[in-house]
Amino acid sequence: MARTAQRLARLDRTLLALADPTRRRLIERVGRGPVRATDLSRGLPMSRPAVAKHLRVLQGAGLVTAVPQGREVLYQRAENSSAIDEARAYLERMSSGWDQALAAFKRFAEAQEGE
Amino acid sequence: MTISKSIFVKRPVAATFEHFTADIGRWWPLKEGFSRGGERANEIILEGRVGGRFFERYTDGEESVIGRVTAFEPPARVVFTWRQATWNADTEVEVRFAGEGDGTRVTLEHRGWEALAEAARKSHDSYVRGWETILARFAA
Repeated sequence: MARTAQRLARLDRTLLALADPTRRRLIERVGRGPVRATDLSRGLPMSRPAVAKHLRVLQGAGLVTAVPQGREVLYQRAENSSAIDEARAYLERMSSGWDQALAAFKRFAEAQEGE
Repeated sequence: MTISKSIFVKRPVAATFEHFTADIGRWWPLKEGFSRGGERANEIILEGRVGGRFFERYTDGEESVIGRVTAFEPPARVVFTWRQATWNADTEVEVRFAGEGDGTRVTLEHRGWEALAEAARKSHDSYVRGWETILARFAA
């Protein structure tokens, strides 16, 4: 049970991370290879502290890791970034659950015609 | 992020609304896994009024509330909240019924995943502050 709660808490963090378009762009960029925060902010219309804030959210969700290298910090895609797959899988399960429910509803409602 | 669905039902709008809400226990795929209680789930009920409960009743009589009805406007619209046991915020489901040809177009939106994420963010503020402290020390 505690494990389920833990897993869902991580899912919440992942959903938060993915809810923001800027963070989705950052994940994409970081996924192409390790990159410095300075270089990340260069490609985006926002300040370096704003980028740093987004990166912290991504780190909290376990999607991005920061690796110190000399005086620099490199950001890279977390090796075990299954959190993102988990969130996607959850939303897909929910989505197919609704497909199933609506199909069952249609069958039921149309069969009530004679009532 | 929103899950959006749409289906055509060859029945009048009023009957379709009635079947969706009052008869929910007769068509909901509870036993096929779209439930909270799984094997234990015996019934699903949507109380047809604002403030009404949307809940499952288990075989042993225990009840598990999924959400509350926030809008009940027959035959056009019903809105209810949806929260899993371990979530710390509500998501929202809106179902609309509109006449189309010789039947009814049913559209469903399950939204509010951002609220779930936002609640998670609040509960992790200490985590974010912790990171700031570490980074500040690192810089000094």
